[in-house]
Amino acid sequence: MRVTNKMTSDKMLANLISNQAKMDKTNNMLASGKRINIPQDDPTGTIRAIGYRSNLSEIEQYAKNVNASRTFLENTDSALGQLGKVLHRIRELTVEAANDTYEQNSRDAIADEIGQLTDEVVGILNAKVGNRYIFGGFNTIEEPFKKFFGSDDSSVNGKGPNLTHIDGSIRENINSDNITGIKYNGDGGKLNMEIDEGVLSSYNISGEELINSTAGNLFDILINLRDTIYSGNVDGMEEGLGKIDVIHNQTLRYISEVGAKMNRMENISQRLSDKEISVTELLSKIEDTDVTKTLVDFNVQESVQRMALAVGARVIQPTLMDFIR
Amino acid sequence: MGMFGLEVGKRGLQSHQTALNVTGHNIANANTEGYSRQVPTITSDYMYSNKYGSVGVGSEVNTVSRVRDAFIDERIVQETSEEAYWGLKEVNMKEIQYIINEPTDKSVRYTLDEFWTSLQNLSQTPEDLAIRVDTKERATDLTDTLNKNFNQLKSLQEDLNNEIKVSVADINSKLKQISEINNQIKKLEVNKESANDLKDKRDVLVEQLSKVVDLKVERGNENEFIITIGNRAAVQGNSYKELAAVRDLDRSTGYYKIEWSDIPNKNVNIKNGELKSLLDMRDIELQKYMDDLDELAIGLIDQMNDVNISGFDINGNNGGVFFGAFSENEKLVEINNSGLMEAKIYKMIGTNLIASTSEKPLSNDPDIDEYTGSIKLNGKSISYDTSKDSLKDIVDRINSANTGIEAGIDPNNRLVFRGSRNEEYIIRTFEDESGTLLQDLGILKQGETIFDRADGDTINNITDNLTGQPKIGAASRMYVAIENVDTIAAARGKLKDNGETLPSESNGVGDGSNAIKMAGLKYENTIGNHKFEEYFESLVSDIGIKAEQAARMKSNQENLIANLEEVRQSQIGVSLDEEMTNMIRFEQGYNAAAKYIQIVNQMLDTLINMV
Repeated sequence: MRVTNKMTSDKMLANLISNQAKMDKTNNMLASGKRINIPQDDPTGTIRAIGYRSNLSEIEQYAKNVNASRTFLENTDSALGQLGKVLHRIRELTVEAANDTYEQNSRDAIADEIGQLTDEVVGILNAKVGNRYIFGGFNTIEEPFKKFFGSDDSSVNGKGPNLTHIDGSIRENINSDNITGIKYNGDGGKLNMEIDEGVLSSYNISGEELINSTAGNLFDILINLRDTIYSGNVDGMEEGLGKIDVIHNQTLRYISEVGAKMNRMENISQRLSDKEISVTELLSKIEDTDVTKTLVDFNVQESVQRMALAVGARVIQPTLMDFIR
Repeated sequence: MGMFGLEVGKRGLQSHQTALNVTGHNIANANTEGYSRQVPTITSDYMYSNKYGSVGVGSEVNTVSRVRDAFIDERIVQETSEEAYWGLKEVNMKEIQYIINEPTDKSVRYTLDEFWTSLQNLSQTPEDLAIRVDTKERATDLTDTLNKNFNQLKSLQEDLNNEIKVSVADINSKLKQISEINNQIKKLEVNKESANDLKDKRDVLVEQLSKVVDLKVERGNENEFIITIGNRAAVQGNSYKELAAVRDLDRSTGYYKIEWSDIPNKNVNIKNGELKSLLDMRDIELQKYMDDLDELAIGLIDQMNDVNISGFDINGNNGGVFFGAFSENEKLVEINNSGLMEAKIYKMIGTNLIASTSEKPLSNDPDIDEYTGSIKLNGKSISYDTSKDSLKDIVDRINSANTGIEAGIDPNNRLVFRGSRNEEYIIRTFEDESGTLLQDLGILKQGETIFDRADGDTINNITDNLTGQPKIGAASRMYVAIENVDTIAAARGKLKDNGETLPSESNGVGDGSNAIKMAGLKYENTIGNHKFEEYFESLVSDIGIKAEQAARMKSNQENLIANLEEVRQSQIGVSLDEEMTNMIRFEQGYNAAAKYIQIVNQMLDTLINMV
C-alpha cells in the first residue's frame, strides 16, 4: 500500500488522542474514586447504584425510626419502673396502716405520705421524651394528667376537702392540699412508627390503658386508699390493698410488654445495621473504583502512550530530503 | 532533421518543466485539506513518417489529472452523516446526563428520597414544628430540583431548536457555494482549462455538507453535478434549492420544521446527519424525558394531595392541597370546535368507602351484592366477580389491561380513576357493561351506566369528586402549596364504626399515621404499574443506555471513517518521498533534454560552419 506523510501523521495523532482519552477516563476514575460518574459509564450499574442509594436512605431512616421508638420505650420503661416502686411502697405503707394497733396520728402520717406518693405518680406519668408526653396517647402536647386539690371547687373534682372519720367525727380541711381528683387529657391513641417497608409498630402505652384496671382507676384507688386511712377504716384499707395489687400486677405486665418491644427493636436495629453494611458494600462494589486494577490499567496506558510518542517522533521525521544532496 | 531536432528538445524541456510544476504544486499542497495529488500524463507526440518508418516528435503533457476514487468518496459522504448524527447525539446525551445528575446527591431521586425520609421523621414527632419545617423544606427541595431539571431540559430543547435554524442556514450557504463552484468548473472546462483544484474544493464542501445533512451525489455526466437531499435535487449544476426552517404552528412550542423554501408545507425528508440528530434529540429523546418528568410530577402532586387532603393538620382541621401546579382552576368541560360539550377530566373518586381493600371480596361491603359482571374502559372489557374479587384485585386487573384509564385506591379506600399519559391525562369513556359495579363503587351515580367525554351531558352521570386535566409542564410549575407548616396533615381521622362516612375528626396532634401513609407512597404503584423510584430509575436507565449507544456508535463510525480515509489518503494523498523522487526524475529528464538541445545545436553549428 502506498503510504503518505499525512496518513502517518494522522494515524499517529489519532492513536495519541485515543490513548489520551483512555488515560483521561482512568484518571477521572482514580481522582473521583468513582467508577460511574455519569450513567453512560455503566447504565445497568447506574440503576443498581441508584437502587442501593435509595435502599440506604430507607435503611438509615428505619434505623432512626427504630432508635426513636427505642428512646420512647426506654423512657416508658423507666417511668413504669418508678411507678412500680411507688406502688410497692404504697402497698407497704398500707399494710402498716392496716395494723389494728396503730394510732390515728400514725395513720395520718402514712396517709400524708400516700398523698405525696400520689403526687409523685402524677409526676411520673406526666413524663416526656423531648417535648412529647409519653402517656397522652395521640395528645402529646398537653400534660396528660391534671391534678385537682381538695381546696378546688368541689364541682370540678367531685370531692371536697372534708372527710368523715369512721367514728363519725368530721375531719375538716384534711384534704385541702391533697389531690382529690385527676383528669386525663389524653386518649387511647396508639402511636405507630414504620420500622420496615409497610411494617408498623406501635410504641406507646396510653394513659388510658395504664390507669384503668379491673379494680378501677389507679388514681381513684390511690385517693380512696388515702382517704380510707385518714378515716381509720381498716376494712377499707384491706380492700384498697387488693386493688393496689391488681394495678401493680397490671403495671408489671406493661413493663414486661415494653421490655419485649425493646428487645424486638434491638433485634431490628441490629438487622438494619447489618443490612446497611451489606448494601454499602454492594454500592461500593458497583460505584467505586477498583484502585489496584485501575492503577495497573493506568500504568499500561501510560507506557503505551510513551511508546506511541517515541515511535511517532521517529516515524514522522525522516524524508528523502534527509538523504539527497 | 535540422530545426526539427530543436523542436523535439524544446518539447522535452516543456514536458518536464510542466511535470516539475505539478510536483511543486503537489508538495505545496501536501497538507491542504481535501487536496488530491495531481499526476501529469506525459505522452509522446504525433509522429511523422519517413522512409525508415515512424519517428517521434518528442513529448507533451497531455493531461494533469486528479487521483480520486468516486466510490470511496461516496462511502465517506454517507458515513460522515452517520458519524455526525451520533457525534452530536453523544454530546447532547452527555449534557442530559449532567442535568439529571445521577448518580449523585443532587438529583431528583435524591431529593425524593430525602422527602420520604422527612415524612418518616414527621411521623415520629408530628407535633414538632421544626420537623414540620424540615418536611416543607425537603418538599421545596424536591419541587425546585424537578423544576430545575425540567427547565434545563426545556432550555436545551430550545437551544437545539435554534441550532436547527443555524444548521439550515449553513446548509443553504453550502448549497450556494457548491452551485457557484459548479458554475466556475463549467466555465473552465469549456475553455479546456484544468478545474482539479476547484473539484477538490467542491468535494470538501460536499463532505462538510454531509456532516449536517444526509445527501447523495450523482455524477450523471461531467457537466452535471447533482446533490439530492431527501429525494430532491438540492443542487443541479449552477442552480440550487434552499431549505427553510419554518415555525410549526401545529405545535404549541412553535418549534421549527424543515421545508423546501419554494414549496411551502412540504416537509424535507431528512434521515441522517447533525440536523437529523438535532431534530430527533429535540422531538424524541428530550421530549420523552420532559414528559417522563411531567408524569412523575403529576403522579406526585396528585397522590400527595390525595393523602394530605384525607388527613388532619396540627389543629385538627382537614388537610388541603400539598403540592400545587394543577387541579384548582382547570375546566372540567369545554366546548369543542364542533360546538359540543367535551369533558376533560383527569381524575374521579368514587363515593363508596370500602372497608377492606386488599383481602376481602367486595360483597363484604354492605352496599355491594354478590354478582358477576364486566366494566368497559375505553372499549376494553374487564370482568369481575364481587363474591371473590377484592377492590385491589379489580384495580390490579384494570391496570394490567392498559386501558388508558389507571385505577387506584385513595387513602379513604375509594376507587379512583385517572386518565393515563397516553390519553393526555384525560378519562375518555367507561361504562357498566353488565352488573352495577361502577355504580356501587360510586364512580357512576345510581341508575347511570355510561360516561363518555365526547358527550358532555354524561358528566352528570358521574361522581362530583373530579379533577381537571393537568397542564403539560407540571414538572416545571410544581410548587409546595403548604404555606403554614401546621397545615401538613400528619394525622389521620377517627373512623366511624361502619366505615361508611369520611372521618370528620382528627385522631389528635400526636398521630403521625397520615405522614406514614405519605411516606408509604414510595412503595406504591403510583404511576401506572410503577413506583416513583422505579419510574425514575427507568428514565435514568434509558438515558444511560442511549448515551452509551451514541458514544459507541460514534466511535465505531470514527473508526470506519478513519479506515476509509486511510484507503483514500493512500490514493490521493501527497507522499513527499514520492514527489521528491519525481522531482529528481523530472529534473534529470529536463537536464537530458537540455543536453540534447546542446548537441543538436552543435550539430547545426558544425553544419553551418561547413558552409
